[in-house]
Amino acid sequence: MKFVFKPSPNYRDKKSTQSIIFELTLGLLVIYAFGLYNSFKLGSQYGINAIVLLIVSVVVSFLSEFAYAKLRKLDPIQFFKTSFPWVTPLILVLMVPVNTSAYAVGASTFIGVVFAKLVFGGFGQNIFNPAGVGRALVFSSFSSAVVTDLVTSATPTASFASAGWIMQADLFETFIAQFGGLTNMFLGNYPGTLGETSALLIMLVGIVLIIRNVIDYRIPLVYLGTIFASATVIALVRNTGMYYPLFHILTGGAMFGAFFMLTDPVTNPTSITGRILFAMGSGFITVLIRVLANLPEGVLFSILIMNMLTPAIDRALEGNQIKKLKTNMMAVISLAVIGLVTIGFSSTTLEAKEIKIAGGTTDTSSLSFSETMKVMDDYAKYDAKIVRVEGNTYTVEAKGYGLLEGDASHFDYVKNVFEIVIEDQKVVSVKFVTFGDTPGIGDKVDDTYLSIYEGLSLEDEVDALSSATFTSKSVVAAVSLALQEAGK
Amino acid sequence: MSLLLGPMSKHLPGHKELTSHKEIIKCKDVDKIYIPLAMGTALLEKKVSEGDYVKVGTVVALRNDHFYVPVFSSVSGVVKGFEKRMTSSTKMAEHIVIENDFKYVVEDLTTLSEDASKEEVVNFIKEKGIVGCGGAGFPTYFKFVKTDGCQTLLINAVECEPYLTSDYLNMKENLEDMVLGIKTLFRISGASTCKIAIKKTKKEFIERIKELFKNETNIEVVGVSDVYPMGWERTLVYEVLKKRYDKLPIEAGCIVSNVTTAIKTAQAMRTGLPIVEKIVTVSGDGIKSPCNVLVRVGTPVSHLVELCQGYTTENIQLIAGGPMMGNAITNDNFVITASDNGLTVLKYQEVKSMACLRCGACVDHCPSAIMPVNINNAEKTKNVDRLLKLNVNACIECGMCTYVCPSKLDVTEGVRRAKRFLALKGKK
Ligand code: SF4
Ligand code: SF4
Repeated sequence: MKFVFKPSPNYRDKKSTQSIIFELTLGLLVIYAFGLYNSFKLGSQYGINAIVLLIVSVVVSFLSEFAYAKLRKLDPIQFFKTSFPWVTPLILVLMVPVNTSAYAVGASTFIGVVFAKLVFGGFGQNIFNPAGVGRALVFSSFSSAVVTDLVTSATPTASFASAGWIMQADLFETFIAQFGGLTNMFLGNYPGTLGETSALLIMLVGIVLIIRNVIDYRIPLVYLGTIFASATVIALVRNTGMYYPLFHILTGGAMFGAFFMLTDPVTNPTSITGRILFAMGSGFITVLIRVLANLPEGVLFSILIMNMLTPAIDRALEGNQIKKLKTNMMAVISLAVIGLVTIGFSSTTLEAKEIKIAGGTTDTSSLSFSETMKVMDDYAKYDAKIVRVEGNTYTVEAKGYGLLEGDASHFDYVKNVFEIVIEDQKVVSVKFVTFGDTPGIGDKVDDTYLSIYEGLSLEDEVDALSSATFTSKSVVAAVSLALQEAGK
Repeated sequence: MSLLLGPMSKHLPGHKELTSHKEIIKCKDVDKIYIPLAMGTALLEKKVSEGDYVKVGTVVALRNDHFYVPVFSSVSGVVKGFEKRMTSSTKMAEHIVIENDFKYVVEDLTTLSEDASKEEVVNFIKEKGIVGCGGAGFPTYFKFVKTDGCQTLLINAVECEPYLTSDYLNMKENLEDMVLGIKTLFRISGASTCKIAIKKTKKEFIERIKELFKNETNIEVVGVSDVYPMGWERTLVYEVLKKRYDKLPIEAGCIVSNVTTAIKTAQAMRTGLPIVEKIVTVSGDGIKSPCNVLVRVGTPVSHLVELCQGYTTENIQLIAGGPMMGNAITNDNFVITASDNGLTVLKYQEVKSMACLRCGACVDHCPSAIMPVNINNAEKTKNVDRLLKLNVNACIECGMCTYVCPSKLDVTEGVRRAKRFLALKGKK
């Protein structure tokens, strides 16, 4: 008979960190599955890319952690059991656009896992959300890589950012119609990242995880509530209409951030007051980044900024929570008031970007909302090439928006082929011969849109179609080349 | 305002069904009983010497520091000497060894009539050595000396420790004594209402108790949530009266007393006998036949284990009390005292801990509303100021923080280390 001594209590809850992470993983996989389905709907090359991205990311993460375990002379298998190397890749992949290159995702995974997790001492020690850090890298270092640029410029968030984060209600309706309206944004049927699009799905999975006690309900509630309240203030100050707050919480990964990034226990404060301040601060920063810096990526950076403040929040709130109840409540109320007032003031500086209507030949108000491009601009990077010239009909091919199927490590682009008729240095008509672009995105570039090019010359300007900026640029590149060719 | 506070409690799987419907069995009387000369950490004066003849109810030892608590023999026989053994609070202490002559000659005992005055009752409780039967062993008379400002007497029949059912069975078996005990304590408390707190989940039982008090308009039965540590005074006072206090419940206008204490008081009044027998729950997955045992105070635990048909496996944890606050003891020779109410025997399962998830579960559930994870971190850096600010000494060592920790860390032990460290530094 052996009597084992352990200090009390000798009773433990069944729930373990392993079971929490396991349930979280299941939740993320559900969202990934939906993202995958969405990607395949866009085209099989996207679906395959989505799979490749996850595999690459997971492999990179496991390899990094394996090397780390070896370095610290730990048994890698045991180490994996308490380090959960699959979580960061899963979150990261859900946050990147469908056709990000595997190379970019691999590199961000490496940076995220190594520099945001392992150098701090591994799981539990990290200050920043590793997936967040990795994702930020995709933005900052790979944003010039055409691949990511294309899709971000096609998302509602990015388009809205380029419109100055402010828009009157009637314009907004036409704007949002491009993405199938707010309802569609809620359901998730629009271009965006793999996992951030369906607010409905994220909420459903999130609620299940809340009920299962995997994540704290306060965080998404306070975070989304703060964004909603801030946007409502802006809406009232600027009289935009009530679509505005809804758009703010439905877009730019706010939902995903609320339920899956901010709730990461390792990088958020340990006390309830701390978590509320954390979520609220993050909500204000998200909106401020959006409207002041005019960036689409408020969610991500706000999370990283608040991660940085977490240790300070934790320390500031230390003490007996009942005795500190009043001060804590004051802290929460003060932050709310200061935040809303700041937002209210800064919203007065918001400027809606003017939308130019080109050519005047068509009802472009239903099409525009993006930057204006000069036909003269150099579109060499779109690889425009004259294929054939027959009289005044120029057949031109230019880089399209879609990826070619096949080798994942090296992407090539599909080509759009146009037939352009030019007379007297002016465009008579533009027609597609081959359309290689993403269904659902590029096909907004239809005959109505192409008709705005009629009558244009090299000196004119046209609007890029925001939901299909890249495709429009492809058209402009082709037209521009044809005009130059005709001018020779 | 509690928007910013966590639940500060949690429902625990109680496993009470293992013993709650079984008959109480009587432990056979043993040849020798042992009375520890220690009560928790306090030491007792011996009142007998080797060779003395003692009767059932003879004072054999006395606690006489800031509390006055006499300790009695539970058998009649000769004092055989003194022996060092481990107590149920894991201290090595001298025990008085009394050889049982199996005659049970009873000391000439005083009883008390039901209508005795407050002073008489308080004195009686004091002289009969009645201690709180919730496990802590706090002397009962002390609570009733100063009762100014007491509006409510709270009778604690919650029994929130998992596995333990001795209070429940004690009530069921001694309904009349319970009624008398509660009425007496109510009377001497000077309170205007008496509330008997029983877990909501015991619906039928609540009805039965209500029936007993149906003629007493000032005595009501309240159902409280089935969460741990509902039996702790602060948690219970907040649940029932929605009041918090700084040091003692009397600040919130109430006195809290355990139901078994009330029963023991009534029994002493009727028979004159102090606590010489206890009902003790022996339960857990480490014991073959869990049940409640009626046992003489001073009986070594090994006899109770035998009565319950022994252990189920080789590696076990034998815990004096419930699994949350009870101490694991490395032998089964320690004895049952007047304040013991259970033994939990568990199959030993190794737990693998991992890095803190920083989930804050320990913070949200700590009934004292302090921050166990922060305390653990501050303890590692031995930061006195930070530990003081963290209000470490408010910890009641309830074990909740370790229980909820998903990373399976010994959080409570870390807080204890911090308390010891502060005590060492002379900071209370
Ligand atoms: S053991 Fe102490 S610190 Fe831990 S939950 Fe209980 S009171 Fe709080
Ligand atoms: S419950 Fe455990 S894992 Fe969670 S914060 Fe407390 S110590 Fe860390």
